[in-house]
Amino acid sequence: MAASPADEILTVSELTHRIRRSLEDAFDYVSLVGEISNLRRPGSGHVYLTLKDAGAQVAAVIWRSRASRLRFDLEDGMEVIVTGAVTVYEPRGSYQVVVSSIKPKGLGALQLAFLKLRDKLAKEGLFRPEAKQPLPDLPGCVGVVTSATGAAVQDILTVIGRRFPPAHIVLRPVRVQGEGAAEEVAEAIRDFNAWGGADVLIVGRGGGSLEDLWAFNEEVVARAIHASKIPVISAVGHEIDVTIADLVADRRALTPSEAAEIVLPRFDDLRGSLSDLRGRLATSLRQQVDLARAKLERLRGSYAFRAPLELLRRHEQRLDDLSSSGGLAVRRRLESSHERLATLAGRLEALSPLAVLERGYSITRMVGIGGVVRDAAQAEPGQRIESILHKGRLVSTVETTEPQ
Amino acid sequence: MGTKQSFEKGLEELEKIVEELENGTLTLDEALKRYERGVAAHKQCREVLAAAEKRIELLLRTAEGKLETEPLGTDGAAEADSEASSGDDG
Repeated sequence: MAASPADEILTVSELTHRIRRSLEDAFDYVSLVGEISNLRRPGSGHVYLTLKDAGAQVAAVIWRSRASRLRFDLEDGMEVIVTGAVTVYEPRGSYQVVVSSIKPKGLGALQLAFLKLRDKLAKEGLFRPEAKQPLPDLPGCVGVVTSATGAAVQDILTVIGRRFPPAHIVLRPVRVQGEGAAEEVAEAIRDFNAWGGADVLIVGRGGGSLEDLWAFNEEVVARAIHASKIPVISAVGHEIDVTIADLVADRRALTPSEAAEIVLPRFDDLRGSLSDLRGRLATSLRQQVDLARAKLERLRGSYAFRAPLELLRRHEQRLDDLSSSGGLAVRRRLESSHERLATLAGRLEALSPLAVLERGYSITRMVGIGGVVRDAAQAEPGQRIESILHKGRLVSTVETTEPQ
Repeated sequence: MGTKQSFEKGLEELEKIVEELENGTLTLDEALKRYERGVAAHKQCREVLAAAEKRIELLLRTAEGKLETEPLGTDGAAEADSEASSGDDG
């Protein structure tokens, strides 16, 4: 409806108003790609910015209610995709886009938010291995933070029920997605810490999209897990989903079922170990006793060996040995001597002059001078000689001699 | 099992005693004493296991803001308190 300048004289407001109506009719919702510049956040909470490209720019506004729910930080220079309505801000005679949704071009808003929070918390040291608490080997009470409905809680109860029937489980039901879910999860963790009766917590939910799992990527949950004095096992979604909660937790389970397997041992295994230990106790004591007994025997044996009485006996025995073996030798020697003696005596016997006399020979000796006469020349007539016979002797005087 | 500490400590002690005895460096006197202590620790652990009871409860805040537990409904379904609506679970 173009008014001819000659016919009508419009006020500025009227013109602006017409422009506005015209613009708003022509453009419904638009989707826009552009670069953020001139970002301003005055105290009102509304966010003002300019979206531009190489050839033009347009003003944009994000009202406070929408701005507060943004999942990522806006920055000058960021390329974004915006959806919004085109309006005219009459007081200034400018048009603008009222943003209803805005997301980074390229990386998804959620992914970007995830990366930013992850880097921020990593820098603060929330993910350090040293910051992680060890899980208790045998928790007396397991706290579970998850939705009251859904697969996660059922899986946890089933797996624990099978492995460790007499378990004490305390459940704190929470919303695990949607507005306020993160705050509920965080509060549940804080409440378990305040109550103090749980020895370990399982915090998680079943599988879902990034949006569904988003509560476990929120800073409030990360801080609650980090601050928890009770060790926390995170069990969010499936293996491929890693959330901030998983990174901060003291232990990450890939699924709620795995958390249930980590948290408690098998009751039967526990009983088995206990029995084993009891057996080893008895066996090792028996071995100790046997060892001591053997030692005792050895000592008794060696002592007896060194006892004086025994020593004496051994000496005596030696002596016996020696004497018995010595006597034999002497006896043997005597015997052979005797033999020799007898033999010699026999020979002597045969050689004895007395034996010759027996055969009739006599021994002539000079009376007075003595000496045996062998040569006739030795004697002179008139010499007295004695003749020793086998029996008795004769005394004679030499009449004549006949030397040879 | 409220006495999980006594179980863990008992188990630790039992394991330590078994190790000591198996190393064989104790005197007979010491060995006998340790054995007795080991039997006691084992008994302690056995008793804890025997006393363990299945319990599934909810942690709730009372109207006064106190935290307390209450048993789960007999059919196994959680009795959600008035504040928390059952979660939209993916």
